[in-house]
Amino acid sequence: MMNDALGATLKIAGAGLQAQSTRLRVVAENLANADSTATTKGGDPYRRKTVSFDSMMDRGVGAELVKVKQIGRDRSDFQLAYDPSHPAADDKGYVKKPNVQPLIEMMDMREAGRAFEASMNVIEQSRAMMTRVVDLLRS
Amino acid sequence: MDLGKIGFFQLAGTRLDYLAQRQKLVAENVVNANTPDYQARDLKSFDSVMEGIRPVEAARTSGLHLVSTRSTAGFREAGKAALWETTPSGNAVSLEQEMIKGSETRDAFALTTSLFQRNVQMLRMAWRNG
Repeated sequence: MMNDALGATLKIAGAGLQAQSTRLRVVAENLANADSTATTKGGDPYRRKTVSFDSMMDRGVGAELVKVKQIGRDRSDFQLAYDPSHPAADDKGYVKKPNVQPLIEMMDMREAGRAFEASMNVIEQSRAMMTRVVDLLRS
Repeated sequence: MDLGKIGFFQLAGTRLDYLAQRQKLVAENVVNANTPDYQARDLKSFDSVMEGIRPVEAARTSGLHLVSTRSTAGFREAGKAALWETTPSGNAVSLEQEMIKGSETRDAFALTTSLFQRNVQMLRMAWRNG
C-alpha cells in the first residue's frame, strides 16, 4: 500500500510536469507570434492562445491528476497601429496587431516555471522516501 | 516470526503508510495548483489514526463494484485543510505550504525508517547473544 502511494506520487507529479510544459509551449507560441500580422488587406492577425487546466480522476493511479482542459483563444480586441504601407493595412491605413501582451506572457511563464519546479520537488521528496524503504531491505 | 505482531513494527508500518498517503495528497495538491476551484486536501493528524478512528467504506457486495478512488486507504481526510490563501479563480492551493508539508513528510518518513532499522538491529543483537 505504501509503495503504491509513493509510486502514485511520481505519476501525479509527471502529469503536472506535462501540463505545465504544454502551458510553456503555448506561452512560447504567443510570444513568437507577438508581431504576426495578416498578409491580406484588413485581415485578422494572430490571436493569443490560452490554456485552462482541469483536475481529472485517474482510476489507474487512484488519484486526481491534472490535465490541460482546453487550449482556447483570447477573444479580446486587437490593437491598431497606423502603417498605411503595410500589406494588411485597411482603407484608413490601420493594421491590426495581435492581442499578445509580452508582460502577461512573461508572468504566465514565471508561474508555469514555478509550478513545474514544485512538481520536481515532489518527485525528489518521494524518491528520497522510496530510497529509505529500499535501505530498510539492506539493513 | 511475524514482525507485524510486535507493537513497534506495527506502529512504524502504520506511520509509514500514513506518511506515504499524505505525500500522495501533497502531489495532488501541487499539480492542481492552477486548476480553478480546486481545494487543497490533507489527512487528519496521525493521533486520530491512533485513536482508532477509521473511515466507513461502502460495502461491496459484488466483485464488479468499483472501489472508491477517493479513499486514502484507511486514513481519514481532514474535512477542510488549513488553507493559506484562495485565488480569485477559487483555487486554494499554496505551493509554499505544500512544499513545507512535503518536506515535513519526507523528514518524518526518514525518522520512522531510521527507528525501524535501529529496532531491527536491536533484535539482531538479542538473537546473537541469546
